[in-house]
Order: sequence, then C-alpha cells, then structure tokens
Amino acid sequence: MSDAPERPTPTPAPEPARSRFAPGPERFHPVAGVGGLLLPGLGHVLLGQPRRGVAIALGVLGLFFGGLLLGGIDTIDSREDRLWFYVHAFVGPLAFGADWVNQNQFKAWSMDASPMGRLEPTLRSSYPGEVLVTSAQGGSLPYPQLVQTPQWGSSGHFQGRPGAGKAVGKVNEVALLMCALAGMLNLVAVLDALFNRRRRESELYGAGVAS
Amino acid sequence: MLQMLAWRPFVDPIDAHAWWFLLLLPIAFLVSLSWKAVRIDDIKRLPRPVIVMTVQVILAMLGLGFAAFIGLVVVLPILMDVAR
Repeated sequence: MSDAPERPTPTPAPEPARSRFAPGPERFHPVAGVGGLLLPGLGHVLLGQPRRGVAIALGVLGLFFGGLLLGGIDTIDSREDRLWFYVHAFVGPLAFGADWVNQNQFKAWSMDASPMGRLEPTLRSSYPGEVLVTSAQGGSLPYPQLVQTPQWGSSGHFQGRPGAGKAVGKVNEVALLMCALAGMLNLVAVLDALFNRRRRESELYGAGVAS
Repeated sequence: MLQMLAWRPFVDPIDAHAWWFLLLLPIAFLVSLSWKAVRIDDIKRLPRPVIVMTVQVILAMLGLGFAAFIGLVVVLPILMDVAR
C-alpha cells in the first residue's frame, strides 16, 4: 500500500450546449432555388425564413432599382450591353422585363453609319434631340424610328415622345455596377436557398415571427 | 430647370456626374445588407454586422483611393525623375 495521494480522476468536460443556430443536415431545396430566381428573397421565405428573405429582397431590389433610377431603363440592355446583361439576368424576371421594355418601348431604328461607312438600319437608344416616331410622317418614314427634330437644314418637325435617355460616363458605369451587384448577390442568395441547412425562423424565435 | 422637369424616373438617367462618388454609401449599405442576410445565423442581430461591414467597405474604398492618389501623384513623378 502506498501513501501517495490518489490522483483525481479527470472529469469529462461538459459538452457545450448545442447552439440553436447549429446547421442541420444538408438538403437540396429546388423549389426555394426557383423561388429565389423568380423574386429575390422569395426562396428564403419559402424555407420559412421570412426575415432573411425580406432583408435579401431589400438589398438586391434596392441595388437593382437604384441602378435603374440612376442610369435609366437603358441600363438593362441585352443587345448593347450583352456581357453586363448576363450578370443582370440573375435578378430574374424583373431584369428580363426591364430589358423587354427597353427594347420594345424605347429603342427604335435609325439609319446610322456602320464601321465600314455604309448607312445601315440600327436598333438603338435615342440621342439628345431625337424623338421616337411611331406613325408615318411626311409620307416616307418607316416606323418606329428615331428622328432628329428639327431636321438639320430644314424646318420640318417630327411628332413623338423622346426615347429613353442614354447614361454616359461615371453615371452609366455606377448604374451598370449597381444592377450587376444585384444580380451577383441574388445568385449568392439563390445558392444559399438551394442548399440551405438553417432551421425555420418560427422554430428559432417562436411561432409569432412567421406571421 | 427645364431638363429637371422633363426627367422621367427610371427612364432617363440622373445627372449625377458631380456627386457620383457619394453613391458609394448606399451601394456599400445595400451590398452589406444582402451579404450579411445570407451569411449570419441569427437574423435578429442583422443591423450591427451590416453597419460594421458598411463602414469597412467605405474605409477600404477610401484607403484604396488614397493609395491610388499617392501612387499617381507622389510616387510616379519621383520614379519618372529617377528614370530620366
């Protein structure tokens, strides 16, 4: 027998309480992904995370409509800014709708000089001083067409509403950037909704939050 | 004044060429709001991380702008003098 004091048996450290925010098992949510593509934030609302969905929608739609307000409807342009539009498209039907309105309601044909110097019909946004002529005037105009009014060297005026103004310089760059940021952030939100591991907000904070 | 009256929201661009750099503030805030809404676990604590990230983005942009200014206005002329 030895008189050595007994070594205290190590007591196992208490396990940390599992956080209520700990991620659950990984699951695939295709409906939420499609919802997020249809309307920013909708995917998270469908997953039972309405506060998160509203915050995402505020951020993405704020950037998108902020870009449109700054640069005008011509910011979303699948013809003249095609590479930008590939990113804008991730905002969803809103971006395609804005592009449709731009192409069909504000752009029109004009006879412009090509790089080779030939006059060719070009579908484009209007320049300052141009109006969008939607009915035959003067007997010979095909329509809808963008026409400078009054015509240089003549007093002839054409009737029509002005086309959408074209943003230039820094304003155009920032507007394009805002809409592109909206598209990229919505892509992040859609991916988060597709592979979401979070619990419903009604489970986390109580049933009242979802109402 | 006449140009202002003829302006159509969401159709015509805003003449922001004099103050476009101030748009950094709403852009930084909205990007932070979307990003943190996706990233954080406790959505009830959203405001503080959003404000912190907004300030970080603005300070980072100011720092990058200052660094570019120093590089172009101070360092580059010195290098050109050395090269001569």
